[in-house]
Amino acid sequence: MFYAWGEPLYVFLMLGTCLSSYIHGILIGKFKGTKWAKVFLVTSILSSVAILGFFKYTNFFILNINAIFGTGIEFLKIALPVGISFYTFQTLSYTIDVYRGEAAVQKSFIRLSTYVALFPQLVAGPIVRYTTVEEELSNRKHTFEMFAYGARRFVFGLGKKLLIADQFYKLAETFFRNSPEKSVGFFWIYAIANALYIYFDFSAYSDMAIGLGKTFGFNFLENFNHPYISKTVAEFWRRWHMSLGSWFRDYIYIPLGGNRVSAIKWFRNTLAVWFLTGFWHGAAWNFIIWGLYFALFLLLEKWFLASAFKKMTAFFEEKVKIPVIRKIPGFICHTYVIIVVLISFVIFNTRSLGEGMEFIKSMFGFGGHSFWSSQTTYYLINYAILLVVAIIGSTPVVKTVATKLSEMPRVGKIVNLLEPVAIAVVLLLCVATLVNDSFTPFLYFQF
Amino acid sequence: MKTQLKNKIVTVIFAGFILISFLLCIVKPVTEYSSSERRNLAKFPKLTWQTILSKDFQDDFTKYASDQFPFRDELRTVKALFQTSILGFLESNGLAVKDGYIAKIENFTNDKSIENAINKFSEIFNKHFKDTDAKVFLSIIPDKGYFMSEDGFYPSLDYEKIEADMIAGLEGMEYIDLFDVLELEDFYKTDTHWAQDKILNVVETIANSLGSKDRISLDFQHNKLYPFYGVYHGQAALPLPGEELNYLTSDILNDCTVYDYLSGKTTPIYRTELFAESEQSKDGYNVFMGGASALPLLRIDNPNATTDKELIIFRDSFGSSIAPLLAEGYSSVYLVDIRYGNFDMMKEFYGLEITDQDVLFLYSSIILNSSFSFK
Repeated sequence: MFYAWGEPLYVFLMLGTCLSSYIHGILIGKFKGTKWAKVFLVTSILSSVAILGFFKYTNFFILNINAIFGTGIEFLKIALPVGISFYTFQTLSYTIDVYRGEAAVQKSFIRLSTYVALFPQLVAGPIVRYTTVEEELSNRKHTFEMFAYGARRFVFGLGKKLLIADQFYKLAETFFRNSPEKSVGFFWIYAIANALYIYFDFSAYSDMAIGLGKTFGFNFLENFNHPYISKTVAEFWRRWHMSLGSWFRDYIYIPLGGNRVSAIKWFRNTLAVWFLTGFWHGAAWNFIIWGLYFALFLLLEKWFLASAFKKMTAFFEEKVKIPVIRKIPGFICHTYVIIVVLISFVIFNTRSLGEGMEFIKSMFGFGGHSFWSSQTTYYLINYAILLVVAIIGSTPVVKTVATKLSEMPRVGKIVNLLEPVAIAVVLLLCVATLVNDSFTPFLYFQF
Repeated sequence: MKTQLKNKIVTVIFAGFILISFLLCIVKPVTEYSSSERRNLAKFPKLTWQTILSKDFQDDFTKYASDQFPFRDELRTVKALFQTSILGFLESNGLAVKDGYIAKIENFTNDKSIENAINKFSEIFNKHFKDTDAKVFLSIIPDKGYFMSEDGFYPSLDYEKIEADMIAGLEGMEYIDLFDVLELEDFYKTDTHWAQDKILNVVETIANSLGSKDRISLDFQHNKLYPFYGVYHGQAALPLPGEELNYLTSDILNDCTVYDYLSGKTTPIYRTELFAESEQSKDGYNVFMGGASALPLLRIDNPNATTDKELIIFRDSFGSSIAPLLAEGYSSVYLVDIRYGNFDMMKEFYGLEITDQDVLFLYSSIILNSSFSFK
């Protein structure tokens, strides 16, 4: 019902994908240990990738063929089914895990379909592995503790989406883009707002998915772990969209040999994974460049940046006595990651490669814009409080403080008392925002 | 509070909120019109297989559910207060808020629109007034954004450029500068328009330029209507109090009549009966000769005029409240709104004769910046 509401026709495509995985799972299990198991695994992967490729990438290839060869192939008039990238990866993980013997064959089509169509995470992740919920598909427990945790997580996720992410969306996509008075400062504010929008939008959906899952007795794995506090790009990707990162690691990177191969092969593996990561996000060159951009920094870190950072940190710790100055290496590393990530999301959310280049040039003063403008001041002041709230909210500070306070005997009682009040207030504010505005669909719905 | 009890309370709040909202949505009667937002609310969409498959039903249902949600107005106020009071936003629903004054944020000066206005005014001037004895004047009414951006950083139009372009493009007209005559307090706090009782200095400035000052006494009685909620009141959704809407009368104005060429009806200058209707749906500003209504051509007749002189005002809704105050100096004042009718056709159809009238092009900066509706 949930999926059919948004995709009344493509719901049958999703059910077809479920059926394909169900049959392939049974066949792989039946012929386990024979070459036929491998054959059925390959047909399972090919059929899933073919469906994803047809709906998501056909027009991209037509566009590029037309551009290169000057042909006039007509575009397919098809819309991208919502969430196809997520549920395709989930069904792939199921058949691969069955083949590897890491998951038992699911003999109930209803249960397998429940796993794929589990509505909390169906359209925008996290990418839940079959093995994560295998047991819970049959046996779930329901407690007030789980339900309350799920409700709290859902409400705070909804709050992150409506009260924070959507406001930054307006700043980045409406106010900035429509402003006739852009300045270098405004380009940086755009980049920050854009990065905060993407983080709060996507992590909010994961919070809501995990929360709703809990209320139904499912325990989904975390998808974000405060990525903006990272000090290397590698760490950033261990904290950002963790379910996708681990999926590519386990099903692409490691099968290709991972890093236990020659330098050339490892280089190839890294590029392949990050090319696919970018391409998974969207059928456009900016996504591919976005993925390869991260590959570049990961390679640089592996080759020399990470060791340089380590040496710098060790030097400061050894030679410097003043605590504040000893934090300088951490600050430099953190600044490096933030700048790399801000630029990456400008590429990610750009409407064309030309525009992306123009924005990045303008951020560094090469766009012919003045350094500051009165509108920059206006929007900075307009969003000042929300910026502070969002920046603090993207770190573990709030969680840490809340946990410490709740552990204190007297204060803990007050925190316990305030929690239901906070949930009610956030829920009220979310409804107030929903009835007043047309809400912005989740960014990752398009992937 | 024990954790177990807290978990039960959270569960009850969450589940209760969803259940009660659902029940309220079902039992609440459908509201057809939102007087605060001045728009019709979405109705339950047509349910057919076709509308479901095309997703029209789902999209329209989302709008319907949002529009018909119980306590919608109160919730909009909660959201506006949260954003302005807690988050410190300088605007609410796209409207700038400063010291209780609300204005639409306009930060894009549309050069093409200004050029269009210049071309349209030039066309009318050259065709109808250039070779006559009529004296033609141009005046621009700065909107509230001009004053709100004066001492701060609120985004605003490039008023200097608009003024310079208009003056340069309309050389045959004598320019009357109102930028220094007006101030923010001359406007309603919650409406786009100026308040009639605050613009006597504007009337004086214009009358001086037109040469009709000696025929105008500027001696009026103040009449109050309350509460007046301007067009931005409901849009901003902030809990702001109603304002006084003052209209100015005199013995001469009381004898004046307004003829609407479109309907063929004659009415008094002030239509206070429209103010009562404003609570339901209409705009209280309509008291002033229809205010912002679509009225292409009106004529004020002054039976006590001491002159045969006539005035033609090419105007937007701001003209509705200032024209009566200029009427004492003329036998007739024509109000032409070229957003709703072509002047060539009006002149031809209604048999208007151009002789030695005073002619005033009086437009707000907001309308000049979105002039493509000029016919």
